[in-house]
Amino acid sequence: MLKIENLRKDYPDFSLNCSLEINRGSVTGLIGPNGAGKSTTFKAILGLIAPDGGRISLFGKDTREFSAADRQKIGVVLSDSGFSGYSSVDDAAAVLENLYEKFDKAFFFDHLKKFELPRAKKIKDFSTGMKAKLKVLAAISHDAEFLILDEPTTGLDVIARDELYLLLREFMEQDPNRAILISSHISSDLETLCDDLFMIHQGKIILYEDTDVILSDYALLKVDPSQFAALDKRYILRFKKEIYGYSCLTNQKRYYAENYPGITIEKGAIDEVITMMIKGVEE
Amino acid sequence: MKGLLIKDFRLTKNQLLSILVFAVIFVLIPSSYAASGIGYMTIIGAMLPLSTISYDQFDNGEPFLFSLPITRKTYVVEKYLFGLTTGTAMCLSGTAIAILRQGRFEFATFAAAFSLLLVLFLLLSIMIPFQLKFGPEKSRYMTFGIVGLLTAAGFLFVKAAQFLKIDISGALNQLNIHPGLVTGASGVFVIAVLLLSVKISINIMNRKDF
Repeated sequence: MLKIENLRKDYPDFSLNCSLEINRGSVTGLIGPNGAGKSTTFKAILGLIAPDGGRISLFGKDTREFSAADRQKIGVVLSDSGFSGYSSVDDAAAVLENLYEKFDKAFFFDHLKKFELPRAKKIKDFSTGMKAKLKVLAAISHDAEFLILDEPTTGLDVIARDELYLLLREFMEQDPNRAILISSHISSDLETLCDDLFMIHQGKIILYEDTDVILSDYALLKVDPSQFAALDKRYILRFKKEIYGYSCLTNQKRYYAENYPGITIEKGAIDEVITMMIKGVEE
Repeated sequence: MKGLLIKDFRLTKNQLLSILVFAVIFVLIPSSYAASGIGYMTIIGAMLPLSTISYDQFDNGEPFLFSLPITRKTYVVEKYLFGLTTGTAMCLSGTAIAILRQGRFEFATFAAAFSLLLVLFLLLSIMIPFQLKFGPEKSRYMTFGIVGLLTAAGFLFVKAAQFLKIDISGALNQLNIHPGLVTGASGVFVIAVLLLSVKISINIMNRKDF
């Protein structure tokens, strides 16, 4: 569905250079620290910035040639941008109804009620969580084929996040040809929703893996200096010096569990993988 | 386009109260100030698209706006269309109030309204590209600067003519140009400037990174 080939965008203090592919039917996470290039990638996909090189195709079409009709098929949540704060939800709904051919008014207002969002209040007076709910609701209310969600759950409490997860799961179940690209700082978002993950750092993709594989095969080995010296490092992706010795990230948990029964092995969690991939040293 | 127009009309409903206050003041002032009353009303109407651009730019709203199913060209054309509609509607309302106040139809009132409308469309042609390029603050200063320069140039031209003892109005009267021709030529000139302004604004938006 989405194919990014050697996308390049140069700023005075930052350069993006990445490639990635997203297939229909999948929920893909784009993860990385602040300033890694996630928002720049999203903006390039949406045509909000002009790339300095590379090619982006969505629905099999170059995004530079996108028309308003092509944009009908995309649902968008941006972390730092939304409806005008001087509008009310009713204003926003009227705009969406007249911009999107397939805007589902009943679905929108039904969920508005469920989320307890006031229709007449100015959006600038909404809390961060209320704004987040409205943004996601607007993105999934017009039968989009592809969702681009940049930090959609920021400011939401656990219950509201669960409600949104459910909505997004239902969105995917309704049509197997849909796809979602999501970025989030909250690891539970990624573990719960994503089928696969791209990790971006300093403008480059440094890891691509299925979420299930990360959760089942990745692990953190905690070893003292002598254990570290004796360790087979073929499957060590990154290591980091610690007070007790070294922590090592592997994608072959079983190999080390079977061959080094004396070492401490912690189950791979996305937060640890991110930290190690960024702060660890490559073997 | 329809969605954008609805967005802008709904955004400007917040300013409805101030527009009504102006209308009431206009009704209350003596009828000899009819032309200036129409001017005030037209200015408010024509400036509305500028305030909608400010609303769009407020709190980094543009990236989301341009992720919606619109093109940058549509956005620009809509702003001009909105300005022409609100400017004309306000000018017509002002004229209607002026005629009601005077209790009779005077051609001079209509001519004044038409002239003001043309001047305001010219102002709009200058201000929209500036606002799109530089945002509300800088564009305001730039437009004031340009209008100031044009006024100063006009003033100097008149003073120079007086100094050189050239009778401009006499010369114009001698040319004996039909008023209809002047009106038509002014209209064509304003339309040409508007079209050029739209083209410049589209180029500005196409080059913008959000």
